[in-house]
Parts: sequence; structure tokens; C-alpha cells
Amino acid sequence: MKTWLIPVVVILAGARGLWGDTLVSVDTSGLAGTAAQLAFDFIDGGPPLNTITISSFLTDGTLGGVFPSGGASGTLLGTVVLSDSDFFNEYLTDITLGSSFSFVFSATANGPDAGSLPDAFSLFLIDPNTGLPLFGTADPSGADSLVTLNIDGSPTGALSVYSTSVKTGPPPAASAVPEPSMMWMLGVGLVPLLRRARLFNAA
Amino acid sequence: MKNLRRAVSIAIGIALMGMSAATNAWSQAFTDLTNRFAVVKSGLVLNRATNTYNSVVTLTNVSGATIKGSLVLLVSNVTAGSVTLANKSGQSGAGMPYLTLPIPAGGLAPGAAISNIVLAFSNPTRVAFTFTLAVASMEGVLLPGAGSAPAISAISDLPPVGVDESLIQNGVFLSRISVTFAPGATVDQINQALALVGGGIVSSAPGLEFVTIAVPVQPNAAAVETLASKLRTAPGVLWAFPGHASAANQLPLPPSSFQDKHLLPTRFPAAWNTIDLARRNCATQAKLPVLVIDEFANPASLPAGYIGFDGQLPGFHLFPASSGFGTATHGYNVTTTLAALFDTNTPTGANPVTECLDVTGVEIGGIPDSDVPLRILQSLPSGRFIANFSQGFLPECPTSGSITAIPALDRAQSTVGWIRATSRRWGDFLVASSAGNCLNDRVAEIYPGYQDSRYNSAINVATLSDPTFGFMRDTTLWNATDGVSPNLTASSSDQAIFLLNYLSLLQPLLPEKNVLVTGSTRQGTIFDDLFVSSFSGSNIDVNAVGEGVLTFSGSADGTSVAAPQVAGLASYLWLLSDDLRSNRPVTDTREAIIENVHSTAAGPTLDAYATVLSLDAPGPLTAANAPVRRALLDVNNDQKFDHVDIAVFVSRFFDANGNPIEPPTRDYSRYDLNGDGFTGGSKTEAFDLDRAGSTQYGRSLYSGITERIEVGDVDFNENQVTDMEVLCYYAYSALYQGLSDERTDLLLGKCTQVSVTVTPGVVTLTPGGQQVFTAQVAGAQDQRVVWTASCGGIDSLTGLYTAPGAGTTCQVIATSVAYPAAFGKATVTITVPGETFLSFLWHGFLIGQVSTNPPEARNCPGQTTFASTIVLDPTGSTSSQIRVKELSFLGQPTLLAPATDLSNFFAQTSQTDSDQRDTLSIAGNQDSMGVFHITNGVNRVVIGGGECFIVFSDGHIGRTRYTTYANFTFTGVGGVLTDLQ
Repeated sequence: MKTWLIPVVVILAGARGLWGDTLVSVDTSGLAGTAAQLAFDFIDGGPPLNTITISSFLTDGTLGGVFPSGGASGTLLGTVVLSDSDFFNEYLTDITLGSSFSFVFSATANGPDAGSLPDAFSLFLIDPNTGLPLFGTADPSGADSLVTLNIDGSPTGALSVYSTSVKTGPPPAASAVPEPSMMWMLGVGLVPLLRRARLFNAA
Repeated sequence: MKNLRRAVSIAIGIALMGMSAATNAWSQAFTDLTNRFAVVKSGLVLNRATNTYNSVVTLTNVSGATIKGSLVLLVSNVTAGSVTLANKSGQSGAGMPYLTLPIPAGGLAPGAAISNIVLAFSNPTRVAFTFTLAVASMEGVLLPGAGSAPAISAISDLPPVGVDESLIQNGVFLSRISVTFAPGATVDQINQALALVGGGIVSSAPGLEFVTIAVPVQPNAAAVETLASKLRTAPGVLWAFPGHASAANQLPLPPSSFQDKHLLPTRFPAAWNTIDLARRNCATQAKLPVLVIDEFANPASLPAGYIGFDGQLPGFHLFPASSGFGTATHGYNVTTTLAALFDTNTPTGANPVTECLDVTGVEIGGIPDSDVPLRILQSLPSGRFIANFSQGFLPECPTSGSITAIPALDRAQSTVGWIRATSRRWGDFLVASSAGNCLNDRVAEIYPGYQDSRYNSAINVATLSDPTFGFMRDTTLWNATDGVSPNLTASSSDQAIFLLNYLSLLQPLLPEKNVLVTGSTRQGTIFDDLFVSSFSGSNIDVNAVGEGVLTFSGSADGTSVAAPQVAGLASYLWLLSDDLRSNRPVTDTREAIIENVHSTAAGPTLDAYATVLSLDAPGPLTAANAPVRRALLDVNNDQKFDHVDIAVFVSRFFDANGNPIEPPTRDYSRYDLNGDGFTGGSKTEAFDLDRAGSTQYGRSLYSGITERIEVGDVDFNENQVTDMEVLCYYAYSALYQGLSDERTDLLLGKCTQVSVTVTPGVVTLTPGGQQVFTAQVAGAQDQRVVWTASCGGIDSLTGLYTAPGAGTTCQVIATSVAYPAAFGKATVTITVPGETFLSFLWHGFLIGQVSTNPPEARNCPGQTTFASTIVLDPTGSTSSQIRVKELSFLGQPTLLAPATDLSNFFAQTSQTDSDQRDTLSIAGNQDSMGVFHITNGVNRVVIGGGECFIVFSDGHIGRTRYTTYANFTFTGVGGVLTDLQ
């Protein structure tokens, strides 16, 4: 039976064009030991291009085979990049669930052109036997995603959480503080990137 | 591919163009409302269960007005050919898929949003795509077929669809316009006209150039009129008027404590005395279809007070079946006024035989009056039926506020719609139509045309004989008298165009003759009490009582509740007469009602009883050609009028002593033959006894007539007859199928107006003594009598009487020679010297068993034994000369083993037997003290040989017990009766 959960919509602050990191934690203690699949979907809504970057994946479960498609590259052991070079872009991996898993993702923030839909990133927990979501969520689209990010052109995009098993928030602060000289160097490096972002937004 | 997309407006423009193109199927009509909404689409998410890519859409009303009506979300310009909308609700004629949108009750307020609208796209090749969304109102269709084809040929059957109450403002439909095609209009012309106003056809009927179109919901009536004006300028459109609601012709009034009194003065109870015939007929016939065209709430929305409705009208149903207009009770009230059971509950319908009716409530709530003919047309049953229409043109007599008055041209046009839709079936139905309630209303002061019932509705207008509908140009009717309100008179050019198009249609059809326009009278008891209701429209065909009519929600006033009494009577007539229902033109039914109205201060007023009586063939009457009268007289419902029926009536008209009962009040009983409401008595009422010169289903002729009763002629004035005279007339007519002797006995002295008085009336003679009696015959020229005597001797010519030789009592009878039913009596007591009389009253029980087969075997033999003592004068001589001299029975039988509800329906002749037992000897002995002891248990009085009539109205005959009082008179010779123990 499908279980509908109360949706939580979180609007996160982040930089335009190069959106800040978001930590996503999923409590799977009730499903520990269950064979499942994790699906990171990124669907093109039309121009312009956007990219999703997934990193810092942690779990006490066991990862298995990987089935990337479209503009998916990398691995969860390191970094996964999803680009909307294709219509449907997915990083799909087998997993034997532990008590939880988490990851950090970031996105570019290029809103849709007129006539386009927002590019949309969504996370699913799939039953490998049926190919359907393991449980129902409050996803109004009826797809039973756990989390969906619509890159809608707003500064932070629209992140919607459809399961109480999912927590989102900023990632833990980095333990190493850059030296002043390194901060300067970083700032110099960001200048052309920020200008590029403004140009994109003005377009 | 990431291409730029077209603007929404362009897409819709293309879509509308596509809809205007020729197509073989009905095309939906859309009106673009996208600019009233903010549209937000989510990105796509893969739904693995449906293998679709879903986007969630939110629409927010950014206009300043509430948006009502049927909305759709159109999806167009999908950039990949392999991508389709998997969850579409439908598709436009141009191939655009759409979703219907859920609109909150009352509409979508400014700032409100419709959320979570899911668009599910099938994208099997997973190609990139974009699409365009547009919001549009969608109601109705465009004409199909080739653009150059005649528009009339493209019309097909589209049943009217009701709108929510919130879309009707002051009687004007905010989303409906009535459109009439111009002669020769093409499909393209009409579709382009529709595009002008964003309209679509929502109701139409094949062959009719009248359609109703839906347009985007307008904020007010003026905006609807603006659209209608725009349509009128379009090629191919002859007329266009805002859709108007019908006005229910009922006035609200507080509840009354009266119990269905509205049916009394128009003599419905007397008409129902033939109800057995109606029930018998319907046992072999299909139920009679009756249409009540009105506003009906869905039964689930009715107030609690209507819980008994289904019980009163078993099988009642709505058309369309799932319809229902808000909480409207008007139709239900009209329906129960037309037909509801005659039982202990109110209301009671004009036709109480509801089990023989198939009553359909035709829903016209929520549809404009231009749709009413179409709805009716689609609801028409096969064969013949009765209809009621208690609606009229707006306004509903407003006492304040704005007036939505209907222009004369609009009335004419609506009437053409009615005629076009129904004229082919006029021969199949009779419709009662209300006269309207605005006679003394503000709107009628401004527009005198509102005073006249003939213009109250399309049906009423159709009864005009003028095919030019000249009324539409009559400024005295339609020009506003207040100098402020707009004139309603049609222009000369409008009339010219109207006649150009319709004169040839109207000329052969008008006037419609299957209509009875019904006005209202006040309440009353008899016809003389009835005055016209202050509100009732003029120029009616017939009136009925339209005030204080009981419904499930209290008392109602208005011509709305007057008309269904006429429809109810018409349906009752058809139950009584299959000839009238199946063979005769429906206009005969109308004539039967019209020709038998009673002229009152209110004008021609319904006379249900006279109308029912007009169903019998003109004289001479027989049991076969006068079924109504036979049913009336056949009180025990054994399908013949015989002496049993006479006995029942006589028992109601006369007391136990044979004296006429003068009823103090009206009881509207089954025994009220002349229809005056009284049972028996001297009150008179007109009654067409002989039907000579009368017209079946038409006028009844009331005249002076003579009938042979026994051997004499009796005069009757049909304008003034009593119940007893009705009974006497038919007892000696061909309708009578009983025994002649029984009839004579039962009616002896009761049917003649001639009386005979014998002088002296009482006399005492000694044995052998003589007395000359004289007789006076009152009421007759011929004074001749024939003398007879029960004992002794009498000269039959001279009246010379000679007493017998023993003590007794005799009767001398003088019978009129000219009128043998008239006779007079004198009592002669013959006394023997020394004989003394003593009377005492004895009472006991006589047990009788009435034979049940055949029911005519009415003997009820019984017997009793008695004992007592008689104390004689001890000084006298006594002997067995003591005898019962007179025995009579008094009182009424009481029921021993009653069936249900029979207590008021039995009848008995009170038998007086004064002479038959006078030879009965009493067994007993006289003791030494002179006391005569009547022997216990030996003496027996046997009741038998006579008849006791115990006949129940339902034909039931059962075991009964009589509490009977026997009055004994003893005589003794040679002693004095001094006591009785």
C-alpha cells in the first residue's frame, strides 16, 4: 500500500549559476538489509543547460552495480555529475540498504528559457524486482520521488522533500580554514566565473 | 533540441482556427482565458508506474474577477511528435489534448489557485520536448460538416445541460445565449459567429434552427446582452437573446392549517366517487405518462419535510435522471398538487390514483427558457400524455430591486421555439399552463402586458390565433409606463423580419389547442365563494383554487398550484375513459373541461364533477354507454347498479324510521350523488341526469325532464336535484340492473313528489265498527286513490272501512291512482271491551350469518328466545289470549368480526314488522295470583324471510351481530296489565 507522507519544501540559499551544496540524509533503518536501487534522475526541461554534482556519499549499507544513462558520469565513491545533455539522465546503482545514506549535491541555477520547463533533479529508492518506488511519498506528480529539485531560475531553485525519512540541510562546515593567501587566490579565480553567471542571467 | 516556443496566444489562435476548419466530428468550442491566469509548471519527473514524465502545474487566478464555468488546460505545440499527453481528458477538434480542471463551487476567486494539476507525458524514445499550455473555458461544440453546408443540416441532438445556480443572476444566465439561425445560414457562418463570442452550442435538436450556446461566464446580465448584440450582427444569426430562467408561478405564503380545502369548491371529492372505475381501467392499461415540467432539486437535497413524497407518488422520477437544481421544491409542490394519494396525509392531489400514473419531473432548472422546448422534446414519452407547465417568463413578480423584463420579440421567438419543438406532438398531449402571478405587481404596472396570461409563457403565447404575433408591436402592452424602464415593444423591422421567417410556419399551426391556461381563485367552500386571486393573470381558459394549497412545505399560493389541478383532472379523465385517452383528439379533453366550467365571480372555474359526468355518452343511457354514472351509483363496486346499491344509499339518506336525514354540514362522502358536498338532504345541485341533448366530452344540457317511476311520471329539474332524486332517476333507468320488487320496496314513497294524506289518521273502533276515510293527493291533479286495508274490510273506491271482529290494529292505505308510488296511511285500533294494552321494550341479541356467495343473498336469519312475566290484574280473567301484538326492530347493527375500516360503510334497512307476528301465541301459565309467567326458553321470535342489508362498500359481507331492540305489545282480555318484570 502506498504511504503518503507530509511534504516539506525547503528553499535553500546558494549562489546563482553555481549553487551551494546541500546535504541530503535518508533514514532507511526500517528497510535495513533490503535490496534496493538508488536512482538519481536529472531530466531536461529545455534550454539552458544545467548540471548536478553529487559527492560525499556515505552509507552503512553496501553499494552494488552501477547503471548510468544519458549525461551521467562518475561514481558515488567519488563524484557523480549529471548533465542534461540528454533528455533523461540517470545515475542508477544497486544498494543493500543500511540504516541510512547521505550525500551532498550542488547544481547550476540556470532558469528555463521561455517555453521551457525547469530542469528537474529527483531522487528515488527503487525496488529492483519491480522497478517501482519502494514506498509511496507525497510527491504531487505521482512519481513517488523522495526529493525533487526544480531549477526554476530562482536564486536557490525549488527543493521539495516528499518523505519524512529524508532530511536536507547545509553540509557540515569544513574542518580546514583556508589561509588568507589561498582565499585571495580563490577570489581571483572566481571573478570570471561570477561574471559569466551574470551574463547568463542577463541573457 | 531546444527551440523557442510560440507564444500562448498564437497557439490558441491556431487552435481556434483549427476548430473552424471542416471536420466530420463535433468540435469543442474553447475560449482562451490564459491571460487571466499565472501558469507555473514544474520540471519533469519520471513516474515509473506509468512510464510517463510528469509535470505539476499550478494555475492562479490573476484577474480581478471570480472565474466560473468549465475550464480546461489545453496542451499544444508539443515539440516531439513521439510525445503525447497520456492523461488527457479529451481532445479538441484541432487535435489538442486537454485536461478538465476542477473548479471550486462558486468559482475560482481572484488570487485563488488550482494546484497539483499533473500532466503526464508519454515519451517512449526519451527525447527532449517542450509544450505550450493554455487555459480555456470549454462548453459546447461547433457545427460539424462542410463549411458551406446549411447550418440547419448540421444540427443534431444535444440535450440541454443545466448550469449551477450561481451562474444565474436575476434570472439571466451568465453563460448562455439563445441563438436562432437565419434562413440559409451556413456551417461556417455559425461557427464564425460562435468564435466571435467564444461560444459553443450546448443544446440543439435535429431540424430546429434554435440552439443554446455557452459563452464564457459573464460578470452580469449587461455583459451577456452585449455578447448577444454582437451575435445579432453576425451573418447567419437571425436572433440572439440572453438565456433567461423561467419564473415559477408560485407566491410564497406562510403555512396554513387548511387540509386540502382547495379541492372542495371545484367538486373534486364528488368526481372521485368514480374512483373505482379509474382503478379498474388502469389495471388493464399502461400507466398514464404525466410530465411535470418544472424545477426540481435532486431528491437528496430536498428538505426533510418531503420525506413522504415517494410514498405519495410511487415511481416518480426525474428527467434527466441525474438532474437536480439546487434546493428547488417548486416542481415537487406542483407535482403533489397534480397527483398525490387521497389518504390521511396531506397533500392530496387532484388525481389521487397515483398508482396508475407514470409521473416524470422534467428538469428545467438550470437551463434557459430557450432550452425548455428541447428538454421537453427529449423527455416526451411515446403515445399520449398529460403535461403541466407552471412556469412563465421572467420576472417572478419582484416587489423590489431590478426587473429583468423579457422583450416582446424574445417572447415571440421563444414561442416559435416551443412550436418548432413540440407542434408535431400537440395531438398527443394536453398541457395545463399557469397564467402568471403578476397582475397587480410592479412589473405589470410598468408593462401592462404582464397582466395578461396569454403572454406569460411560450406555451400561452402559442394559444394566440394571430399568426403575425401582433402583440409584439402593441405599445400599450410593452412600452414602459414609468418613463424610465426600457420599452419592450418590438420594432417594426424586427416584426417584419420575424414574419418573413415565421409567418408561414405559424399560420397553419396557430392557435395551439391542447393548452389550458389556468388562473387562480381564492379559497372558498362553494362556487359562489370563489373570487379571482389578486395576482392571477387575465384572459385565462379556466380557474382553479390557487391559494392555500397544501404542499410538503406548507401552504402555497399562485397559478403554479392552480394549473396542476387542471392537469390532474385531465389525467383523471383519461383514467376514467380510455376512449378519451386513446381515441379522441386531445382537444376533446380540453373541451370537456372548458364546456363544463362553472361560472363564478372569478370567471370560468373548474368543475371536476360536471366534467367527469360529461364522459358518458349522450342519452339514452345504458349501463354500457354510461360507465361513469354506473360507477357513481355502484357504491358496493360489484360492477352493477342494483337494489343493494339502492339500499346503501337509502340507508344514508333516511333514518331508521324512514325519515329523510337533513345533514347539517358537508361531508363530501361517497354517497353525495348530486355533488353538493352533502349526503342526502334537500340541498340541490345541477346534475345532467338524462344526457339528452348533451355532448359527450362537451357541454352538458340541464333541463326539465320526466321519468316514469313505477306507474307514474315524475318530473325532475336537472338544474336542481337532490341526491335522492338522482338515485330515484337512475333506479328507474336503464342503468338499473337489480330486482324490481326490491327497488319498489326500498324506494316506496321516496321517489315521488306526490303525497297522499288520509283523514282521520288515527281512529279507534270496536269490532265491526265502521269509518269512512278520505284522502287528499298533494302535488297531483288527479285526486283518485285506491283504498286497501291490512285487516278488516274497506271499499276500494269509497274508503268505507269495517273493523274486524277481534282486537287488533289495522292500517288503511290510500294509494294514488296517477302516482302509485305515493300513498298515505291511517291506523285503526280495534278494541275489545275489557282488553288492556301494555307495551314494553325488550332488547336482546339476534345472531345472524349472512351468506357470502352470492353476495346478493342477503338473508340474515336470526332467532332469539325470551322470557318474562306479565302481571295482570288479579281480579280479571286471563287466558292464552295474551299475544304479541306488534314487534319492531330498532337500532343499528354492530360489527362482530370486523374487517378493517368497515365500520362506516355498512348499511341496514330498519325492518319494521308490525303485523306478521300478531298471531304468535305465548307459552306460559297464569298463577293463582293472576300473574302470567312466560315460559323461559320456549318462546321464540324468528327473524327471517325479510331482508337485512349488510353490504360493505368494498363488497365485503361478513358475520355480524345485531343489537336489536324488540318492541312487544301484549294484550290481555278480562284483566288489566299492571306490571312487567
